[in-house]
Amino acid sequence: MNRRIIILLLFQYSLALSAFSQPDTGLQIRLDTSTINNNYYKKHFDSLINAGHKYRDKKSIKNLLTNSVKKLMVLPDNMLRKPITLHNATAEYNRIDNEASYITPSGYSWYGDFEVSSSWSVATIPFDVHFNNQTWNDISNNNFSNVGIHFNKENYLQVLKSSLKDKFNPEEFLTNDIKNQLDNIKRNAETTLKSDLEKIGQGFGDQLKDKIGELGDLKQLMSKDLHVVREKLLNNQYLQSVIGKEKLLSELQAKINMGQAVDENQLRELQNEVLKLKGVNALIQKVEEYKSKWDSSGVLKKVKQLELLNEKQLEKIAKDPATIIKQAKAHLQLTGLQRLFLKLNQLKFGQNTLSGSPLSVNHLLNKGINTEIAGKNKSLMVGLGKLKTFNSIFDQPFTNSILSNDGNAKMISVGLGNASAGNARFSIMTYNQSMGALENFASISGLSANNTFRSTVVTTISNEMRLGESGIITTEISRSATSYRQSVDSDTTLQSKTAMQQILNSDNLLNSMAVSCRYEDELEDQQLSYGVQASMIAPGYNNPGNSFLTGGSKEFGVKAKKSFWKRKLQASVKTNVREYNFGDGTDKKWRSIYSIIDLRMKLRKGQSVGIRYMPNKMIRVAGGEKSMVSILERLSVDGTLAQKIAGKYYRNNLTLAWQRNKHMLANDPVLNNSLSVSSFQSITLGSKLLFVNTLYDHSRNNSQFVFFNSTFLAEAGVTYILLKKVSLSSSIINNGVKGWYNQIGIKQSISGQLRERVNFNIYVDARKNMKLYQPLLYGLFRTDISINYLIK
Amino acid sequence: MSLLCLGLLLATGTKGQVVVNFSPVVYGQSLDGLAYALIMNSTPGNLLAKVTIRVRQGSMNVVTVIMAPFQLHPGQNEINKSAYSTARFAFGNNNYGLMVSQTGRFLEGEYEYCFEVDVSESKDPRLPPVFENCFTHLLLPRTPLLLINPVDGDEICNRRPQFIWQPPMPLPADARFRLLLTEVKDRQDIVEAITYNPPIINQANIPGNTLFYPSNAPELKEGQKYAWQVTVYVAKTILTRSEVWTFIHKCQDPKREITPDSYRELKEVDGGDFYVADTWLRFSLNNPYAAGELNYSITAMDASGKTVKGLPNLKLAAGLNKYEIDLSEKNKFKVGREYMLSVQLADNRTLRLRFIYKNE
Repeated sequence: MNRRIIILLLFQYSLALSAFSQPDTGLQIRLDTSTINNNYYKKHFDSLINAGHKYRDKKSIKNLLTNSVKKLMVLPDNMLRKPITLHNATAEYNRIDNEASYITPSGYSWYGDFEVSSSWSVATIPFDVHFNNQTWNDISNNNFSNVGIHFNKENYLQVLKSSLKDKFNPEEFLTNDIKNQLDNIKRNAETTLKSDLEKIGQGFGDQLKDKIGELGDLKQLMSKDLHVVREKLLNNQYLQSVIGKEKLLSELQAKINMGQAVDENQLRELQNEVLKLKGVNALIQKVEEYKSKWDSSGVLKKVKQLELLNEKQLEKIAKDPATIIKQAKAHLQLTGLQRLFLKLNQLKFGQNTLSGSPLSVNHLLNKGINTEIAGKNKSLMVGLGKLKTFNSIFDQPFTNSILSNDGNAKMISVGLGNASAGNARFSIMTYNQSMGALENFASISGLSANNTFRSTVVTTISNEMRLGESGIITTEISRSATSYRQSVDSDTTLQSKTAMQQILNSDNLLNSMAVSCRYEDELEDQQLSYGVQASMIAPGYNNPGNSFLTGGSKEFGVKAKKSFWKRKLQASVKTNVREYNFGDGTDKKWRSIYSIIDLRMKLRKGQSVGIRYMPNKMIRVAGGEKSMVSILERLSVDGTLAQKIAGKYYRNNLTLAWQRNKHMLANDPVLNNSLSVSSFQSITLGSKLLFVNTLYDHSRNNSQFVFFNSTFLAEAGVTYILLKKVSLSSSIINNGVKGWYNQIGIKQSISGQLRERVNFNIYVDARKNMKLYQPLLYGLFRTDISINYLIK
Repeated sequence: MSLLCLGLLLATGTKGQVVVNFSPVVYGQSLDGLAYALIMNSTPGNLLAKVTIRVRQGSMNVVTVIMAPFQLHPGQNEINKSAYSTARFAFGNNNYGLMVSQTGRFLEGEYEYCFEVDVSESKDPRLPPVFENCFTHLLLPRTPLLLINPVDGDEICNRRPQFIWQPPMPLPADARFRLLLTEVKDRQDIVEAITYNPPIINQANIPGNTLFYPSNAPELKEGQKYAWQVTVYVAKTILTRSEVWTFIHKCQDPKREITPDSYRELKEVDGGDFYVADTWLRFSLNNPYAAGELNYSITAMDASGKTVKGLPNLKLAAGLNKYEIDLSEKNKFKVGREYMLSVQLADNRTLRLRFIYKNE
């Protein structure tokens, strides 16, 4: 890597680390260096942080950083030999050919997509590099490429975890007292049982010590089977020997009765052995008594539950990233760079998405850099990137958008807390938006090349809190402010305030805010999960980081899901009510109500049946009057039937749906009620799968629109394997749309592997019109080809 | 002759030679939309034009946009985007002006959009110095485009589902929808998936709010996650987009996975511990004799002592043998009950294993 780039990166992180510890920044957070065991690195980090306040000139900064780089880049010999390693790489080409152009239905179009994905290690730090190129012949600007380089934290933790094998014991990290509870219960049980067994032993002249010893660890008797205890103490061999001794005793007794002399020692020994048997029986009886008592009092059940919980906790600890990181620092010889990357949750260059929270930034596509540094219960996220309104090649047929998003975005977000206990985050985002690419300025005089049109600043505070075992409550509050390159207050020549000035001002506060609250919880013992959410977006709120937030809206939603009969029956309900007020007053608004009610029953052998009802409507409220704008109701029943018929597996996935659909288009209502049936039936014959796919949508209001008319599709085919490596599916189809066309066709798909490195998928759909009433929108021929080559 | 000159003078003086075309239904919703007005220059030469846009709501001034001059070529011209970006915006000192300055969107109301084109700098004496076109429109800001079915995060069994959405209201008569459906790869962001992955469905010109699954598109694959999004547009202008929703196509219960690290060895005398068999019974034994059929039985250890029927036939090989039996498939085992597995070897030795059946 170029030395200057390394210095630049480390400059960023060093400044971040320094900012965390500068007393005059207002952030009372210090970087905790106490966990760094290696004195060499500890000294280095401490000097770096403390030197922050000594920056006076560029030369001293440069010297400090150059030395820092040299120290951090001290690498072991094997890494110096192979600083960059390629682990795996695949190349994939996808192509879709369609005998119907997107732009001109009578044309021909193809879409191509080439991708290369690879995993690398740079000085043992894992990175994923992804390149993709898209082409589409339907448009003139038809070649798009993107590159993204992402640090793979999961892989990094996996490598550390495998290096830590046998080096740490997860039990040391148990923070709850489950183990103590378990030990206490078992110890108490052992103490009382042992005391009683010893009393029995004393009653039999301490002959039973060996037998009590044979019982082993009395704490483990809680989970042992009584029959085994009995078998252990009274095994066949022992019983046979006691029987023999009883016989011998009888003979001796007979001799005594007959006045004959007998060996007294032998007699005593035999008597003791016979008596001992009684003692052993008494021991077993006592153990039986205790087992029964533990069972009836619920102690055994409690022990089993605690053991299971303990196991789950240990598993969780072993997988917890914070634990792995802590142990890696303690037990492994890590370089400075490796320790640095332990602090990074993410680092992305090139094409990436920025995501924080719904009211900060959410799935924002950009080209730039973003990173998140995490310390002890704190984190810092920094991102900056270039934005575009039309990111996708599929948007290229469009030239305009009524709201442009071209420009750039910068984000800084500081978090406190952790995922398990709860965390708070403060974010500030700035967006500079333009109206598109720069044009030729030859015709414009006196204009600068900076194309920024609108600047928006968004600040968000979010807080996530844990409630109980599974409850999470998330609250967010956000404020936005927008300014233009040149804007004045009306009737004056005074320049308007900048966005940052507006944010720091309390003017217009309520009109430019957004608030959201979300609560979710789960009661596992009752198999119930539920959630509530509410949000308000003020009319003056504008967040380019999440374009789906609508100013002037309020939303309230509830959801609940419950299982019955050991999760065989599941019922769920979800309702959302949204209100949009885009006017100056409150008398005109739109209201949308959306619900989903579900009932699903799991039957034997993977079978199930379910019913779903989805009412959805939008109404317009104006001057106290309500009018229905759109209504959509859908009732569907679906089921999976699986049976063995004459030794063959038969399966049928069936769906029945009724739908009422009415909405206003301009001022005219569009009505489309429909009833649809779909069934996918399959039967397995050895390695082949025969299938029949039937779909019928009956529309009660056929129209001039092809998408609304009655549709029929019937397909019959077979899926089979050839030469053990190639999977094929062949089918014939008959489909039609009422008033438009009737077709027959074939479908063929082939997927498999060539040699070891090449995987392929080919899909071909070819049709012929039997009847054609109107020009088609779909083509008669489509192929999808995908080839995947394993480079390494 | 004088009549001819008078006629020419009237023709050039009275007819508008710079005309602004603007569709407030499509573009009148936002500040950005004002830049998409078209200016028709009917003169034979270039004109240096200074465009001012005034938007009023009733008697209130909402916004005035004053642009730097730019060239108008003969024919149809778009408003120069750079000139628009660098224009001076004067927002009205009222709620309408405030809201549009903060969000870029106009509030609901009756608006007048006036486009003034000042060509006086062209210094053409034949032309009036200023041309103005005004458009009035009752503006109802559009509600968002909301997706309905398939539901976000749902698992559906239908290989050819119907797509349904709530259109934005009010909707222009010539508005059309475009639906995109793509696969989502492992650990891929859903917006990246819808933007960069090959489209299974890329269907435009949809006039309503539903789409039956196109007959020529490949069916959904078992276990695959998909992302879909709808865009509404008029001609070449995007009005708005929906969120990106995802769903998984899933018809079959997942095959229960076998973890090969917990085979219990059968013994002649067991230690009395119970093996907890969670759905699968995994056991192993060493067969020093010839191969054959495994002679085994499973008996309930409660008072009934019943032998479980319908167990699978298993082969016994020489040497080490490992077996897995899916206890849930047979429906003969009760959760929480104790059972004894007994295997009889060729030399009449019996190997045993106690287990408790669990199904979590």
